[in-house]
Formats: sequence, C-alpha cells, structure tokens
Amino acid sequence: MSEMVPDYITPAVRAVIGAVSPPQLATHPVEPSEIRRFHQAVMDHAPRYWDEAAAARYGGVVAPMGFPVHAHRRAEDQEDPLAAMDRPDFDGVDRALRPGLPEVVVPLKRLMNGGYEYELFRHARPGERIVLRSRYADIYQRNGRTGPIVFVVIEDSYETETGERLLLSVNTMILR
Amino acid sequence: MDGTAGAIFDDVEIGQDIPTLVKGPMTTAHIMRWSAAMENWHRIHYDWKYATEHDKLPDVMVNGSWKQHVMIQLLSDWVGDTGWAWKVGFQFRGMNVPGDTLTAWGRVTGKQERGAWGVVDLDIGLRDQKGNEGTPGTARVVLPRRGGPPVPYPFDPAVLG
Amino acid sequence: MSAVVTGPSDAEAQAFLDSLIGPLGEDVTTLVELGAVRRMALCMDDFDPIHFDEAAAKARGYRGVVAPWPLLWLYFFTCTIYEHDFPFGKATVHGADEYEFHEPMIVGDVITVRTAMVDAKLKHGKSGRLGQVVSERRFTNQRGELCAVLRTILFRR
Repeated sequence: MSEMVPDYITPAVRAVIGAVSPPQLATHPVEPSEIRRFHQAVMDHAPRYWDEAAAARYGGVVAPMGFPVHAHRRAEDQEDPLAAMDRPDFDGVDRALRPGLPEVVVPLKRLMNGGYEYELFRHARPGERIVLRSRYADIYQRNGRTGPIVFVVIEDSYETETGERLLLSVNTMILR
Repeated sequence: MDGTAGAIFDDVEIGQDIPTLVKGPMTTAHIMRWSAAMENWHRIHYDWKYATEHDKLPDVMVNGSWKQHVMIQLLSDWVGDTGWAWKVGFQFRGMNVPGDTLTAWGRVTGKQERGAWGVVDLDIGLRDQKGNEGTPGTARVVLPRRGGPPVPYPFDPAVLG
Repeated sequence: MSAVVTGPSDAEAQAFLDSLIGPLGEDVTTLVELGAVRRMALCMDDFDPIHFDEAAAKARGYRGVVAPWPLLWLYFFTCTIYEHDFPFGKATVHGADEYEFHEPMIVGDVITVRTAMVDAKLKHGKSGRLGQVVSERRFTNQRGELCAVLRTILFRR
C-alpha cells in the first residue's frame, strides 16, 4: 500500500503547472562551428550541414534538425552552472528545467530524461537566433515499487527571431 | 536536385525495414564530445564516481540527448533531401554505457497518400549489441511520389490537406 | 649487455631537426564567432562586457565584440594539425609558449593562421639528448593586420 508515500505535488509544485517562459532569445546566432561540433558529435556527416551545393533545397547549409533543442547557452548574468559542483550530491542540472521557467521544487535527487515527441518544420540556419518558449504542461506523481516518481511534461516551441517555426517538442523529465 | 535523393513513397511497403544506422562502440570520449558541444553539465555523463556511487549506475551514461539525434538521423538519412521527417517520438527506457554499439532501426507500419505526397508511419528503436531495445518510439515521414512534386520546404503540414 | 646508443647520431638528429624549419601546412582561415568568444570568456570568469556586448565594446574604442586572447588556443587546436615522427627520443612535451598581442580579434573577423617551424636544435642536458623545436603561428585579420603571434616550444626527449 502506498499510504506512507509522500505527495510531492504540493501546492507550490501545482502552482507552476502551466507556467510559461517569456520568449528566450539565444545568446548568440547559430554559428558554423557549433553546427560542425554538433554534427561531428552525433557522427551525422550529411552534406547539408557543410556543403552549400548539397544544401540548395534549404537555401544554404543548415544545422541538424534537432540543433535548436540545445541552442540556449548560459547568459553572462546567469549563475555559473559549475558553482555548486563542490556539493557532492549536486547532479549538475538546474531544477528550472528550461530558461525562464521556475524551479520544480521536489526533494527527489535523480533526474532522468523520459523522452521526446517532436514535430519538425524547418532547419535553423547559420546567423539565425533561436527563440524558445517553454511551458510546464503537466507535473504529476506515480508511485512505483522503488518509490515515488514525479513526471514533468514540458512543451517547447522553437522559432527564428523573425517568427518562422522550427520545431515543437514535448519532453518528459523524470525525478525519482 | 543537389543533396541526397531519399525514399520514394511508391517503393515503400508495410513491414519493410529501413536501413539501420550504427553508432559505436561508444566511449567516454564520444560522451565527452557531445556533452561539451551541448554544454551539458549533468554529472552522470563524465563523473564516474558520482554516476556509480551516488546514482548507483553501472558506469557513466551515454546521453539521451545524443540518442535522440541518432533517431532523427536515422529518418533524415532515409528520407534524404527530397522527403521530410515530420514527427518523431521516443522514450528513453534503456541505459547505454561506454562499450555499447547502438543500432537505430525503423520498420514501416503504415502508409497513405496525402495530397500530392505520401505519409509513412514507422516504429523506431535503438538496440544495443546484446539486442536490448532501449529507445522505443514512432515516427511519421512525408515522401514524394514517383514523378510527383518534391516535399515543400520549409515543411507545412497544411499542404497535406 | 652493454649500453648501446640506439637511433641516429647527433649529426643525423640535427639534420632531421634542420629539415623541419619552414612553413607547416597551408594557411587556414577561421571566423571569429560570438558564441565561441562568449564561451571562452565565461569559462575564464571574465565578465568584461567587451566580450559580450557590441555597444559596450564600441564605447571602449573597439570595432566590435572583442575575443579574449586565449581564444588563440581554439584556433591552435582546430586549425593546425601536424605531427612529427621524431627519429629519436621517447616523448614530446609542451615546454613553453610566448605571445605577442597586437590588433584585437573582433567577432566577425576572418583570421588567417600561418604556421611555421622557426627553430629546431639539439641540446645535451643532464638527462641526455634533447630536441627543442619552436613553432610559430601568426594570426592576421581580413584587413591584413597582425593580431597575434604564438610561439610554442616543444621538447623531444
């Protein structure tokens, strides 16, 4: 029985369900070296990422389709993500799971990525700055054999600065 | 056109396996390269002591964020620069560690004509060298028909009618 | 078994070192990117706004956002690949670097990196024979201005 399992979906957690981030403009435009590092790390060497002639359909070379999902970097006025690394139990991940969203304050230590649902429209191109809008679509708890598990469902919309849509994402993050 | 010609709708059969995509064997260097490129500081990807002692994991972890792009590449390799990988979804159920060789696969589960193009549904996954399935999902791609117009880019689902 | 001197004689080693002098590879060009500038500044805890903000940089007399000088090392690693198969010694170690800083590198600049081996000599130290090679990278912008010179000393022993 699960009477003793704590309810982590407190009023404070419930209050952030539906929270929407202000539009988050990437700190810098998509850059050729970022595209290179991305496609090399994925080991996806399709010419559309580096050969203008092969990328004619796209109007020139493009970033890999999933690139915008990782395009938001630390801003200069943001705390150093390594500042808490001296804490041996710190996992290195901000509990504000997206820039501009509030933290999900749940006393569960392990964070896992549960998966994504993507709808893809257009590649980002060098020189474009990516705008991200995020929303906590749902936060809920399930009680498994190993204890409580909290699911955080995040909807993300990625566009160019001029409002052309790139992709939509629904990401489920898991705390346990 | 320039670029890579991908699959043609007319040639696709339900039950068909699309070409697999193999990555690996994965090493800590591959994980570091991805984490550095993404500025991802999640400790389970580079701090072996933290991963194994604090999080009780068998080793440092291959990034889920990396695996997702392998799944997207599986599809974009198949549809080439003539089709479009429209929808893709997957769950990160399995863990992968250095030493794993990962094979992304896809199998056609359905096809239908839509407008001047064709829509194809697939089951997709990522299995390790032991055959463990770790990243089950589904995908929907849009392909040109033989002799038909190319899939418009940027892709707008409204064109399918 | 008596100690046997293996490998080339000193004269042969010096002749090899002499053969290294001269240009190394082709000129390589690279774009100074805002993201790379920001990343280098942030990882050094250098929050000077000239590395982030064009207006702030221009107000201080620069043409645009200024690259921190350690960004030279990004171009060192991404723009030059060379290896020497020394016919003597066991290990190559990084000894020292010398810098000259001239015209700042600005976001949007296209930097040409020209590499040459400028010095190579054989020395005899307490631990035995040592090869000292000095490579020089000259960083020039699209306006033909010299931005920096980086000399790297490697020891082969």
